[in-house]
Amino acid sequence: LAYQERQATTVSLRKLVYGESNLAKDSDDEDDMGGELGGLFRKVNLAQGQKLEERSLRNREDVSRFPDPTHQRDWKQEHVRDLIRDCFVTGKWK
Amino acid sequence: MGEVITFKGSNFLRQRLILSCLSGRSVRVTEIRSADTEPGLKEYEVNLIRLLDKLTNGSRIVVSETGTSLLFQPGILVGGGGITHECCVHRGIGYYLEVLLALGPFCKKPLQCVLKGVTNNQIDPSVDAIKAGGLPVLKKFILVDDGLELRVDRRGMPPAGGGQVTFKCPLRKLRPQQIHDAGKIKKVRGVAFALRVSPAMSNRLVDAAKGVLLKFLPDVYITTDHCKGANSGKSPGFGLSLWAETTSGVVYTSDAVSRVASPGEAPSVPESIGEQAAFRLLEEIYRGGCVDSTFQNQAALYMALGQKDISKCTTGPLSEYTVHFLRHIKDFLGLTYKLETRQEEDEELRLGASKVDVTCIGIGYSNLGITTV
Repeated sequence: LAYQERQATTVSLRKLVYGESNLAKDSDDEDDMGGELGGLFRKVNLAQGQKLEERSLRNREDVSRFPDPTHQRDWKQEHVRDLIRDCFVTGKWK
Repeated sequence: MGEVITFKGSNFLRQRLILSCLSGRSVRVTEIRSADTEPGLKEYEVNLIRLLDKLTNGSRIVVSETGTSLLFQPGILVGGGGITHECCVHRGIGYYLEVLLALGPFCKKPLQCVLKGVTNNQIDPSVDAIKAGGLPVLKKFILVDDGLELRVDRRGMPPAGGGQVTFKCPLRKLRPQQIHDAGKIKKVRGVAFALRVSPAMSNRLVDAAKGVLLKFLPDVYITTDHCKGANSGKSPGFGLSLWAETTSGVVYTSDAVSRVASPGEAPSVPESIGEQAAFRLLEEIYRGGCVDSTFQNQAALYMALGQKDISKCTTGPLSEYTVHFLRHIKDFLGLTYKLETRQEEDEELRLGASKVDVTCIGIGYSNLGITTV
């Protein structure tokens, strides 16, 4: 069971990274827009959502640092500190 | 040479240019900020291309009139000594240094380069972080570090800069590495600096950071670097870089610097900057792995270009930058990595986020400098 679980996560991680490529695609036309709702709004399907995300990413600032998490943990609290307690020599060893 | 690889948008320009230089394949980037109010390449990107032009011989660069599209035909990576480059002050020297660190080992001649500009800023890894965290990553792959050096001659903060660093990189064959053991953090070091402000600022930074970090580890030493005169650059500011070293030589880094002073905005408080640097370091430790998240892409590159053997590295969660770097490597070199989420056998230990095993087989990149000499 553990093996299967691992298999599942492996596939998803691979897919996440290699699922879509960086290469400029030609399929940027508007003709595959989803069905209209009430003539005003368009439904956003999954592929379009991805495309939107890709487009917003496209011209973002080129930064290699890991972005700060939106909700920064408060490392002054005891239970938060406990999350990484064993990363230090003062923590528990194997 | 192969056909031209086309991308859209300005993001990840560095990765594209680095891989273009290394693979020898031309790259075209279109729609660079085409929908922006200020379309086209920014000053710092043009500056980066100039730097690449200095490093290479025979590169051809074509930028469209509006600046929204770029064609880069890489020449031969020459490198060599005596390169001086005035970096654009809109980005830190770290932005350029990351490119040099990726290309340096593959140049024809050993690289020796003086970079001038902003040493510490809000978004780029600082020169201190690269010195503490980036160089050890390269050291791991070249084994002997004869002449790998990064020296901070002067500091400079945005907006005017005025800092200067010297970077030296030897030529060495990259060896495949299997890096599993992250070890345990044995010490935390750091440097606090105050430029053109009261030297008391750096002490306040140190106190705030130590207040947080001493709860984990007694071995925390942060030096203060109060620069005087020309060594302190052209703009006022202060900041703190921290790095944590483990028993197996892995280094995690973090930075925090004061905001650029602007009217109508409250100035940064040293206590909160110090705390922020400490929090960021702890966040990095939480991510963990055998390489700092900022230098994941660097490790991935060295793994890919090493000899034809298996390299393996355990990392924390992959950053977005790294994910795109892996995709770019696939586009340029046709190399895919094996990615596995590490299953901890020992659930007892509290080691933060789940780790990823990154594995690949090197392509046996031949270095011009090494094969001909």
